[in-house]
Amino acid sequence: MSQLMIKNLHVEVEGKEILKGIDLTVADHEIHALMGPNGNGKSTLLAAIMGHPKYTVTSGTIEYDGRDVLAMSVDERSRAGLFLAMQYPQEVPGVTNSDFLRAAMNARRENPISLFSFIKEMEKTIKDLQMKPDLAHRFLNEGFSGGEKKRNEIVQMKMLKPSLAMLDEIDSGLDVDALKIVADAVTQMQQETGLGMIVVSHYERFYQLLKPTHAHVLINGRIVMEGDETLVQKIDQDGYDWLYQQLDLQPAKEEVKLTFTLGSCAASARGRKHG
Amino acid sequence: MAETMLTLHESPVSPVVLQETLRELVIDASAPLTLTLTAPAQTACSLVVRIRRAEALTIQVRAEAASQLTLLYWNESSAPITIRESNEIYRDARFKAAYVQLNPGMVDHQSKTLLKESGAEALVQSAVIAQTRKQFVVDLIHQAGQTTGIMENYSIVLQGGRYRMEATGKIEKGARGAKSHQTSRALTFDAQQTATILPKLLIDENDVEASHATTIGQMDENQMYYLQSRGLSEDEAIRLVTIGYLLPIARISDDPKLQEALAQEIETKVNEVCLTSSK
Repeated sequence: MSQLMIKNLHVEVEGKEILKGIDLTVADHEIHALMGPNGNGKSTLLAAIMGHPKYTVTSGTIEYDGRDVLAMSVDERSRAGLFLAMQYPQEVPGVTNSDFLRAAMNARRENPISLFSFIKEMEKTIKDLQMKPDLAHRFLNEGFSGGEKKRNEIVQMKMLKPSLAMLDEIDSGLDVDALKIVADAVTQMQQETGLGMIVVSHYERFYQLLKPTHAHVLINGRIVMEGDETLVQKIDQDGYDWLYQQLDLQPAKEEVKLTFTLGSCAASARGRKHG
Repeated sequence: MAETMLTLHESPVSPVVLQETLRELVIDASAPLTLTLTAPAQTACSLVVRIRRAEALTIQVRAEAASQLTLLYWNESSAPITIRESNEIYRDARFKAAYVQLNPGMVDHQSKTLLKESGAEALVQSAVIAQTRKQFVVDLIHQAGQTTGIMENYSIVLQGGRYRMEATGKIEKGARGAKSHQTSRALTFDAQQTATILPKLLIDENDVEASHATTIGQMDENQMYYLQSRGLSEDEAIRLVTIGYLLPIARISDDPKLQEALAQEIETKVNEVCLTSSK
């Protein structure tokens, strides 16, 4: 039985501590709702588990199936069974969905998947997610609507068959019908394979469809409350104010970001050593 | 109609009047060679110009009114080459030219395309792997109104490579409604690589559209993370992105076999590059 075990995890981004001691255990068949106001560390936790280079783990441990996740590269984590459906999936011009997915599937197999089997599986998955048939030939996420990008994340999840999936606000940008399609696809996969899940969402509707077994509230970099689906319902009805009062917490101040745009014209560069 | 191929060895070469059946032109010349190509009015021709051997090449192209001409210059030689190319595009003609320079030889290529009459359109593309010095001067000049000129340059610069692209879109006085757009991108891998892109827009008329986009740099860190988060190794992610970088040039041809051959060539070259870069 696979199990993700996080102990006392501290994570920094650009020198600022975001996560301040997270403990979390997720086993097969479990669906963990991860809730909390914006800017309190939910996405940071998922990105740190996946190994985003921008996030630095300063202390604590992450183990999956008894293996040290923090010692693995990003691709090794993926091949070990971890999957992160991202809030903002990257556009990769020039790389088609089918080339990318076939390469990703082959990366976790001893023998490459036959072209026939791949096409058959991809067509079925695209149909399940009710996406346009030309998805396979389009460049990865390029020119996709917000909803298409999110559904494409689930297409990848279904094709790559992880044993632990993390969904980071995968429901944002989806209309009511698409939300149902995604939830059905995720639920079906979860029931068939028993994969463990961590789900970040701001909407009870998505959680209603997925039926989480556990719920956690993350505020100021710490899990401050845990429960089951009833906690999700309470937060949907009452928001987070009662939690701030009950636990005597202060809401995190939102940083004001200033953006400057520099016009560019001629460009010249000398490359740096890769990696 | 049977397709034909023409092989050129030495100057002087008689002007070639293009016709639909001519699909391939092979240049295998031991001395400087001048080539004149004409697409007669209201004809359509798609031609691969395969450069087997040539040290200095002068190319003059004329796309007459309402003609459709696609030229794919595929340099198979690894020796240094100088190319001086000029194209004249007339009323409502559609001209497409692609330069494929994947081999290690030095390249000095100057290309000038004149959009001489209204409705003329030109798409000029290049796909380059720069292992040595490869320099290009590409001018798209709008001499009449309602003309469209698009330029797309993609290059990969390797260790010891020096890539230079001077890309100019010029809209002359009187060329109202002209559209001039250009994109130039250079991808670097390693130390000791120099890439210089000089995009220029020279505009001497109102009521026109013009834009340029230029990037030089290494792989996008977020793209790499995304691909690796699906299980691809760093080398495999680099390989996929690099092939994708150069592949759009294959689509200039409407011949699926040629597209496939070009895609295969790009993939082979990139595999060599990725193999080398990972060592």
